[in-house]
Amino acid sequence: MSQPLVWIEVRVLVPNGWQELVAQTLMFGPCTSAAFGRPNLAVEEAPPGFDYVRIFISKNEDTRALRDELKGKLDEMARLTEEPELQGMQLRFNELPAEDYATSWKMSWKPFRVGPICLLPPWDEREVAAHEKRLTIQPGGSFGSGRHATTRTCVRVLTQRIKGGERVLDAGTGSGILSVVSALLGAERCLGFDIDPYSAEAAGDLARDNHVEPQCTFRVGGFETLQESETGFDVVLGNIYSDIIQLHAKDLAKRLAPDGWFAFSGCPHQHLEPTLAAINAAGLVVDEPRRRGRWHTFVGRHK
Amino acid sequence: MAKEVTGMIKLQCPAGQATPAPPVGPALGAHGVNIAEFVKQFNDRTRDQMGMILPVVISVYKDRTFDFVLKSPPAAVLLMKAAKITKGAGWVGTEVAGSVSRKDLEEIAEIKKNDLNARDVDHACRIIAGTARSMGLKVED
Repeated sequence: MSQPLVWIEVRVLVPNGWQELVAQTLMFGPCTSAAFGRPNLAVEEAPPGFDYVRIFISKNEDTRALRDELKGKLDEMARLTEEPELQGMQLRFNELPAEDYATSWKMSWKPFRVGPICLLPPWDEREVAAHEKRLTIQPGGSFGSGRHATTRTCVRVLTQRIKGGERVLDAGTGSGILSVVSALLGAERCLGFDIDPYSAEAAGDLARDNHVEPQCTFRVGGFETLQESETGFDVVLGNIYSDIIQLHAKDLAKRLAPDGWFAFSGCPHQHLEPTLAAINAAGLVVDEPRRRGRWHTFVGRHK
Repeated sequence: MAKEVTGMIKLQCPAGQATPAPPVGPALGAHGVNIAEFVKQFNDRTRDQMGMILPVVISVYKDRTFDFVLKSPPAAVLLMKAAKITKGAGWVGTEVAGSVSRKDLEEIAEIKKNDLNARDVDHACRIIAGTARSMGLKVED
């Protein structure tokens, strides 16, 4: 295996407002990207009124000539702007530990279980027990990796309530995780939708990776994407913001079959009362309130 | 989904050509974000702007998923458009690439003021004027 590249961080302390111009000045040749501010807690905080601009060069391109050129361009830019606050900026060079960034983040992504569902990343090929179901998932660009309290609670509710053969509506599907878990547990049809324009593609990929694509349909958009005739769902899921639940409780209730059940999540404790009131006003009753940390989940049925 | 933000990361990356190398790797890796997925999505969404350097703000959520928004184009790009030129001066300091008016500066400062993190509109105008001078553009009063 080849050794990962070693990178040199080039850091400049910049008065606020000038970050973009400084980055632009230093981005040439091998320096193609820049970072601003404090991307993580491990790095030092800039003093008030200032910000750090960082660019990076690989160690094998780090020559005296390149360092001189960076310094020369920074000084020349400062001079041309005629701005006193930009004069005297210094470059600091710092060698970063060798790391293969494309794969090193995976080290912190550990598998976990919710009831019989084992959430495993694609590179973890372990066998799961006969009574367990494997959900192949990794964090991506749409919310719902299973690690958030609200998603975990919803997954647990699904493992306890899905019997097989249900039609499921999944409002604010995000990564599609709740639809895919429902399908893995035996739901017959799952329809997910989300206003996130990238959700449908991500959710489709998740369904495909877990071999439940035929049971799942995903759409981009809000409640307007549902047709009038799309009602009678045995299960209605809404792991969304509580203000959306309040706003659309009646829309959700309308889609639920008379003997169906719902699970609404994503309600922080301070929004508990208005959210419960909206659910109640929509003709629904909560018979299983659940709480994980500051997050509430409501499971119930028609009154 | 109930998204809880745990980190905001500001980067400037070449459209269609981001890689897991720094700054993307260490910035996102520290939050446990799937770096390959970010790179793929950024490149897919910016492919049609190839050749541009784009400011991007990435929100990282508590469950380590992310999303990102592309911010206003760099001031240099807006200035070149205002000056009707395709590149800045080759030898800045000795060569004039073009000129921009005070009104151009004010319009660009208005577009950029939120993304620049400037103290106020005057400060934003000074930054845009400084950027113009650093590119070999003459600022006409």
